[in-house]
Amino acid sequence: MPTGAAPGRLPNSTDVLVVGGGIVGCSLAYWLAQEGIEVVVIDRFDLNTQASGANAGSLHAQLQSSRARQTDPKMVESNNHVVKLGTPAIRLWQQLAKTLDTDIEVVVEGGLMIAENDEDRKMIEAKVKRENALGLEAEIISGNALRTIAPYLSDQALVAEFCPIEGRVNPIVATPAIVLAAQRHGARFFRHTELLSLEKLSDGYEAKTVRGSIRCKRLVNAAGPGGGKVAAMAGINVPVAGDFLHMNVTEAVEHFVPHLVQHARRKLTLKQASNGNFLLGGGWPAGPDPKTGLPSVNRASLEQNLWMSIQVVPALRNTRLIRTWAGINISLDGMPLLGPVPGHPNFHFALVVTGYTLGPFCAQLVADKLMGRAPVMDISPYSVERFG
Amino acid sequence: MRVKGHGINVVAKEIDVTFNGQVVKALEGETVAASLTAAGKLSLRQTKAGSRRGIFCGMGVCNECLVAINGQQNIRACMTTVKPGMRIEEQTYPGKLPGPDTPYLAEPPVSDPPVHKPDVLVIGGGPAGLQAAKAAAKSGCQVVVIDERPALGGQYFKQLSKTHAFDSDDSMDKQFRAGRDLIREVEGLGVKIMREAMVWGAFGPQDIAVFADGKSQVFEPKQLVVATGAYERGVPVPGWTLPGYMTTGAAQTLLRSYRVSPGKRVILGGNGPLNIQVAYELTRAGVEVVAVVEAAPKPGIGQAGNLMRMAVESPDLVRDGITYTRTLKNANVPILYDHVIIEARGEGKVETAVIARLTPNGEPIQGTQREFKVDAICVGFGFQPSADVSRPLGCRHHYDAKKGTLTIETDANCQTSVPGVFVAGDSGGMGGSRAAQEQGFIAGCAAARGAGRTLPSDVEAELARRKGKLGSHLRFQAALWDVFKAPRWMHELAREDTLVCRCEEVTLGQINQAFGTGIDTVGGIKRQTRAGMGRCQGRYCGPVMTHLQSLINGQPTEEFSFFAPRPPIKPVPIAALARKPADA
Ligand SMILES: Cc1cc2nc3c(=O)[nH]c(=O)nc-3n(C[C@H](O)[C@H](O)[C@H](O)COP(=O)(O)OP(=O)(O)OC[C@H]3O[C@@H](n4cnc5c(N)ncnc54)[C@H](O)[C@@H]3O)c2cc1C
Ligand code: FES
Repeated sequence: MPTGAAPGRLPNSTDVLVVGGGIVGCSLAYWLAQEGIEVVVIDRFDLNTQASGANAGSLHAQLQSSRARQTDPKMVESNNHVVKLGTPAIRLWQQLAKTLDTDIEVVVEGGLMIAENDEDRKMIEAKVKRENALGLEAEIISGNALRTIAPYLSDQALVAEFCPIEGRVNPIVATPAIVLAAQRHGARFFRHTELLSLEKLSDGYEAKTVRGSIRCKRLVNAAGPGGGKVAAMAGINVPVAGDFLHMNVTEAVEHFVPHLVQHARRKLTLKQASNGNFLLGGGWPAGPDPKTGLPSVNRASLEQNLWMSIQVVPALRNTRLIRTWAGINISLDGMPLLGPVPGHPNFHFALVVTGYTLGPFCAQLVADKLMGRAPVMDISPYSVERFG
Repeated sequence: MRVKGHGINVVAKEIDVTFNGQVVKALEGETVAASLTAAGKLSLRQTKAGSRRGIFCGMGVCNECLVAINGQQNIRACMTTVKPGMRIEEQTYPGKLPGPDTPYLAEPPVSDPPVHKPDVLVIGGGPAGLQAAKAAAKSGCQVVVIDERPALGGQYFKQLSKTHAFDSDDSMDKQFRAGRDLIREVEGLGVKIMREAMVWGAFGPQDIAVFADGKSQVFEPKQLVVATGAYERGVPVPGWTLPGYMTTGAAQTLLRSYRVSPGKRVILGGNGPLNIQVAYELTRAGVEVVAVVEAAPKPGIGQAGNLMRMAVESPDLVRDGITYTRTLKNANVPILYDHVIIEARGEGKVETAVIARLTPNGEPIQGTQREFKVDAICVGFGFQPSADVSRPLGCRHHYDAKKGTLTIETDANCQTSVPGVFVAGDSGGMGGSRAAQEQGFIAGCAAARGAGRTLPSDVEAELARRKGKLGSHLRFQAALWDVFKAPRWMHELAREDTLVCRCEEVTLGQINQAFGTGIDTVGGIKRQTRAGMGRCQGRYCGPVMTHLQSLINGQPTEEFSFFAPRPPIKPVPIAALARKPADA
């Protein structure tokens, strides 16, 4: 039985302390521990409970439609940087699916973005050109070709962008599998260990938590929506916030939708999970409960997301909604925030705002940096320096 | 098997339906569950792992009785009325994609859901809800009662279905009669009654979403009375998912409403007087009951005080109890005190029940096992209040460690911590049908006042009388449960390979293993094992897992230990809920 995650005592010191036990913090611990680096992960709650345990598990590579419409040059540039991350990130998931000894349900059958009118068609055509230029494989398909690969689409779907690298993973299986693998390499995880304050030392930090203090040489902020607070403890200001998002889940039906389906105009992501349930989302808002501050479900989001879903896949009308949930997502300026901080040599960021998809890959970029290796791609665009 | 009744006759037409292609004789107007059970068809669906399931709760909660009807998938047999020519099939997993000729479950709405604004909305048409509706209507309120079942009455006042009729009023027992009278009275008061209507979401006290007639509708009542009752606690034992293993409540509904017995040779077990009553009713209907297995010790001299108190508070109920036990004795049906059913065995359905004697601590004693050949096992271990409307509304609850259940906090008027929201009856705790009626009436009066009405003098008088009687009922209940005091099993009777989560098929061993990795919250276990993610939404496994969590992390159980309450309260067809965005 793995014991690294069991209560136990927080050690007095470690080389790397990771704050946040979501996909980013956990996979970071995995990459580091594999190379023999001493690493401790702490989380305020259980592991994988926040965005990483409450997302839809879509493996996204193409630009979301709302982002593709952004014209502000700064946003256009950030979006381009995000597109570059998608393909290597999903390849890494495919590799993880082979190396981890649990089936983490990685399926890559491609993603479709549906256009129902001319304007939307033009949008996806321009998007495909832009993405191709950034190295992402994608193409426009329509008519019979579209019907052949996706006979489940409504007649209104005229044309679609097809992005073959897209797919899905099961986050509630994948993160724990990564944690287990990290533990096998000696990484230690401490749940219910909220960080209270950080004291800067000449050679690292002293981190005070609700379960005692721990010294570390390097500190990594992988605290997701809580990342702003953690940075502030070290005297660094970053505009991190949390967004509450809605998800619908249907009963299981036989498999008939292999793709990740999105819409060129409206909020929708739709896919069928391995066990046959459909996960329907796409960024519909959920509210924090005014009393508890916890995520709570919003009726309008629930209803409108379902409407969108049956517009695109009419056969879903005859299935039932069995569950919903509201999860917290991280909101920043649209780009991950990665790597060291000027003036704070022992503080590193690993905040991935653009999805579970990018978690392990971004963590790998940060891990390389921590190990003094050149990351596989230049991470300077994702640095905190962009906030000035 | 159909039973012949004392003064009860079949009045419905016999119709033909098919089950897996075979013709089954049904009575028009009964539930699909009743028709199939009468025909001895107990196995209704196949799970993902390929095992068989059948009726378990009999009240629409467990989702074990799913069948496909005319191509439509995942229909609850216990909540669906049978129609001539129905093509019923065992439900496979996952459901088939319905063909183009399959009628849709619901039509997508063309406009926003209709909104209703009654003075008082009562959720639940059992004893508590009916009394609440009566009190509020008599006080001049416009009242709507919503109930998911095809007929009013709830668990206690469930009526004989229209498939049968009594010879005369004299053939009716007083439970039927009191229920019928109350239903008639409420109907006569102009209360709007919506049957087969289900609250699927409680988004706020003035935002109650209801699924009825294939559509979603919204209620914005001035005042809300929640009287959603309770469902039986799930106590996992090896074999408890076999078709033929069902709750005592499910068996009673089959018998009282449809004159169908769950089997030819039946054993009942668990804890509490309901098992004895249903054993009596089955025996009288000519069914062979092999034993009633009761976890509590046989009431002896030490219980004289409690028995006396019960006789003082409700002498008629004590007399009923004596009739039940005497009838069972005369029919040679043993009541085995200090015993529990520890296992159900069989190939694809119940064939054998294994029982064992208990130590004073409630542990089955090795070597005392006995086996009974049966075709149905009915178990009742007490109830779990349905907090599925009160929790999402944010009403304060606390964990009652003695009962092992989440209990609502209310004031003397049954008002919860959320103003304008009242909870009455079993959904607020467990006080039996009499206390439920008094509470319902009290809540109905308070709701009427909340809606700005002044109570007429006869209502005031009845309110005073009922408030006075409530204490007596609660004293009776306290004494009763002291007599039936027994161990509160959660996971203790399960083995490592026993399913705790029936829907997602997660065993105790898998849950323990997940806890062993350091996860120490039910939410974490749910994500890790899928336990609690199924169609019943953790209603049976949730309390067991919450209990395990408190054993593991040493923290006392409290409201937030349970799964977060999220819509839909029960599964609903997507097309009924879908709503066009304003800008589309
Ligand atoms: C509904 C929804 C759907 C989504 N769908 C997708 C999708 O389909 N595909 C996709 O790729 N992405 C999706 N995402 C986004 C994705 O889930 C996140 O981007 C990703 O999980 C971020 O991982 P993380 O580890 O950085 O953050 P998180 O998973 O949020 O982890 C951060 C952890 O830090 C802990 N923490 C915070 N502050 C402190 C403190 N002071 N002390 C100790 N611990 C602290 C938190 O408790 C938390 O566990 C979705 C998100 C949501 C909400
Ligand atoms: S038996 Fe029908 S839902 Fe439980």
